[in-house]
Amino acid sequence: MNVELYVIYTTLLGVITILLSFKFKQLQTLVSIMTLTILALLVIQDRSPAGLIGLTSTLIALASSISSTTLIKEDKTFHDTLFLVLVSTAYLVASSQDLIRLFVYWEVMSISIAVLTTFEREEHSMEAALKYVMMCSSGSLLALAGIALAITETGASTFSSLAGASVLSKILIIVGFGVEAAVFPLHFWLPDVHMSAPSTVSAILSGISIETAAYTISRVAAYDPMLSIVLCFSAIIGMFIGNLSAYSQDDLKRLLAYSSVANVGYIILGLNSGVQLAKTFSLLHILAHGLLKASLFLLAGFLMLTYSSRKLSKIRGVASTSPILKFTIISASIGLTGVPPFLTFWSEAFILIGVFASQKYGLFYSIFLSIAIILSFGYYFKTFYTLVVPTTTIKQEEKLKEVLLIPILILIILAILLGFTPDPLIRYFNL
Amino acid sequence: MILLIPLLNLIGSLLVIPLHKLGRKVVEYFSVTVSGLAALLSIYQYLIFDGIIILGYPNSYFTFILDSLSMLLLIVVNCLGFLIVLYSVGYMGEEKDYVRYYFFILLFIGAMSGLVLAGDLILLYIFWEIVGICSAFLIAFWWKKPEARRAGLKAFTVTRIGDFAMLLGIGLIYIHFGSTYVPYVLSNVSNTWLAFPIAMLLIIAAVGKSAQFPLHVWLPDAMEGPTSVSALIHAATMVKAGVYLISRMYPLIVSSGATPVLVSIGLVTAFISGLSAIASEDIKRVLAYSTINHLSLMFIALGVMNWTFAQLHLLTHALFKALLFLVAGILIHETGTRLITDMEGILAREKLLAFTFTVGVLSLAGVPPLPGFVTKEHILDALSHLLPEDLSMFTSFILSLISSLYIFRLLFLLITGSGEKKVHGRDWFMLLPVLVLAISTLVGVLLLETISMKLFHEQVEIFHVNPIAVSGTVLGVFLAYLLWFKRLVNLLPKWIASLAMFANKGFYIDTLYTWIARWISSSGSRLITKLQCGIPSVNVMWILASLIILLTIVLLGGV
Repeated sequence: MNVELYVIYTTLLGVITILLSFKFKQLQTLVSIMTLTILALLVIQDRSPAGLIGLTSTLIALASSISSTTLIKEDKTFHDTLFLVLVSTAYLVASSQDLIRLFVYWEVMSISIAVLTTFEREEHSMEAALKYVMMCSSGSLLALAGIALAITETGASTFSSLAGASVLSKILIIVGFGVEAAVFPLHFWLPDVHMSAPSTVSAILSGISIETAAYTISRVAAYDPMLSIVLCFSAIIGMFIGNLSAYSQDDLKRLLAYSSVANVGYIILGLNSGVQLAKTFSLLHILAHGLLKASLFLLAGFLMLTYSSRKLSKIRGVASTSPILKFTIISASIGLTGVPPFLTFWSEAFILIGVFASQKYGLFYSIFLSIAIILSFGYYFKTFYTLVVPTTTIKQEEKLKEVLLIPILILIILAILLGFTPDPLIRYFNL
Repeated sequence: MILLIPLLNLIGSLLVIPLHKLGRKVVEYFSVTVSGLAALLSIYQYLIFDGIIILGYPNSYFTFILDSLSMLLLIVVNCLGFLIVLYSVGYMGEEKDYVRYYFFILLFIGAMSGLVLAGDLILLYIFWEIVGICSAFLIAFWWKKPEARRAGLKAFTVTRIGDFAMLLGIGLIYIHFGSTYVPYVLSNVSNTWLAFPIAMLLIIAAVGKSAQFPLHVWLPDAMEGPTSVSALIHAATMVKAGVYLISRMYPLIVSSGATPVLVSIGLVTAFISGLSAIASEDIKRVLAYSTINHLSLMFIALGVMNWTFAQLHLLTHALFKALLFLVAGILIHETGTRLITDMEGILAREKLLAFTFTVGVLSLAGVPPLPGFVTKEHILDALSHLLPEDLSMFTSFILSLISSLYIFRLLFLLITGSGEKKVHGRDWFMLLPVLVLAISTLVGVLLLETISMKLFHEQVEIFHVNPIAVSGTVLGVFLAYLLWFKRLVNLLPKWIASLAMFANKGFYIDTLYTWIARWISSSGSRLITKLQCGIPSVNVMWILASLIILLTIVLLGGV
């Protein structure tokens, strides 16, 4: 079964149906959910890492899509169509075995991100979009040059033909695609874009898009050991940049965005360490991190909607009165520090063990990875302490409706249930 | 049946959440019943115990081992856990967030029971982490207070530094032995060079969890939590996990030759913590430093090949430390302060509490014939196997002197002085556990004998006297009597007071760490934020720069 083709058709069908039903908002959401469900069922037919990426993407998207009914007030059609496209590109990019098609999917992904960034039509969104477009188009050009070079050199356009291509072509592709993966020093666009994009989009972007890009460049780097090592080092710098920058952020979404930079660092390090164990669990970390990070982003959206601010200093203690909100925030932020019973516990622990076994620099990688993870505790604790600990100043007239939290809760419970044992996932997707 | 012991508490903790709808009393009695059942079961298991029981599924992480080591810990954890839950009914009687409290307490006890039963390192690590989270949340229980929040975060962070070392140790074990099943690993300990790094990593893990130097800073701050939690952390769970890990992996540690490291860590920690305890002004901090002090004794015992006495000291320490904390808890509950100066003389008016507290103090200081004396004596005596004769005598003299000095200082300050504070009324929920613990400390030597015979097949020599150590203790009592009973402390020269200030601050080790952490999280973060400017053209230049850098690296790398 050619999953790739079915995914494209399903997405197109979904997009067209949404466009046709532009007058009925509820119907649009229903169509989105149905399309996403079909997509989820399709991608799990692919028992490969790409299938896992697709599954992560659709799971996050389902939760976001349900939340979008309250989060997205206007231009629902515009949002829903592009959102669907963005979600499906994650699987397509990850599964693509052909360089030209990969590039096309990549461009579709970039364009949908760029357009969704300008969703709110405000000055800062425009600025963020401009930044993104400038960086990503430069990156795309480089990648295109690299792909062209590789095809000329080898005469084939399959992904595996990269093995015979020159180093230059691989470098061009890695640097070009590295922009999207937010590898250091190409991550500058990320925090701004996250701040401007709607929370539903940030959830996808941070939860799966940049990870997909990271997976893709790691696939390219796998053909050249030297490039893998360089990527590992850049990932380590990225972890520290991400975690340290997160400390000084007051804006919740910006903080989360920086923490994603750090988490992509863990994933890239694991994928490029050359150890199978680390690779397996890095892929698992994509799912584990995606579920929890997406839930926090959606939550940030709801908080913004209810309290019209995302600044931590202004929404102190807002979660103190609602036990469900408390549970959501605490478990998502504690989960991201990698503790049981969350899936992140397994992924972070085994990435660490895996990179430790790496032939070269294993000790170096593992020490820096541990320090980076330890550094992250401070701001995750800060986040939930600020939101959960009661203060006297908050107004309680406006209260978040707890029903809205159900999709977020499902994501978190999923992260806990899958956390009991990672084996079935690993076996199913042949990670 | 054995698994029921941890499961009772683990499932109980989950049931607390729906039960709170039925009211406070239901939750309280439910928690007491659950932990009581677990305690009864563990005692029953002890009575029928004869040899190792292994439960589990081949080729999975879920294997459990019940041997003499885990049996001892299981009893300590569950019996003390039960007494502390009972005590909590009184101590946390007016607390609004009681659901969160009982949830974490039961989870804590359950996870610790699971930890000591785990037969596989991965499983052990899972429980190890759960214990860590529970303690962080319980320490930060009163999270409206910024100090409590900070203490919770600190406990979590500092202990997880050790946890990562443990993870790497498990990784090495897995790579080297191809399995993380404890008996398999221990039976295959060969003299490879890898044994030493593995042992060191496990020791770092234990140092973090058991609050030894240089990772001891979280424990004194952990006093921000409710006193019942402190009692649980200090006597039964959490800090004992580190000692347990070393004891469990003992053959590996011994064959790697890392035991002198244990002794050195233990000695440094014993001195630092003892001196800090003498100077502390907070009743709970004195007890906290004293826990660190006694844990370092266990480390020393393990380092000098006195494995059995490390375990027996763990038992005696658990008894008297829980006792002291619970009495201190009553005092704090009634006076609303933790400063010793504010509760001076309070025990003089409260005979029952004074008596129980004194029992704890005497056992802690190592006064015969209380159990603390027996185990401490043996450990200090064993020092002479490792250190030169003179040095070992000197060390045991100083250690005994310091420990009797700090604990009798506390006792004398509490029974003399002109404070006005009083204890009102009696809460039997709080008094009952205190009495049980006092009685078991009094008959502790008998307990020691029977448990040692049954579990470790070793006869405890009760009247084994080390004259040097005993004279240290006596001198300590005498000095403390002069200084704090007769109140001659003000006659001391000024420089001693400034030294005491220095020791009270924990030798500024904590301040140094805090400074570093703050520097990283503020200055480091500001610096990094500045590095990333938001000008698109500059950012695009970065792309080209990285392209060039990558090319250079690869070209120079000769690919």
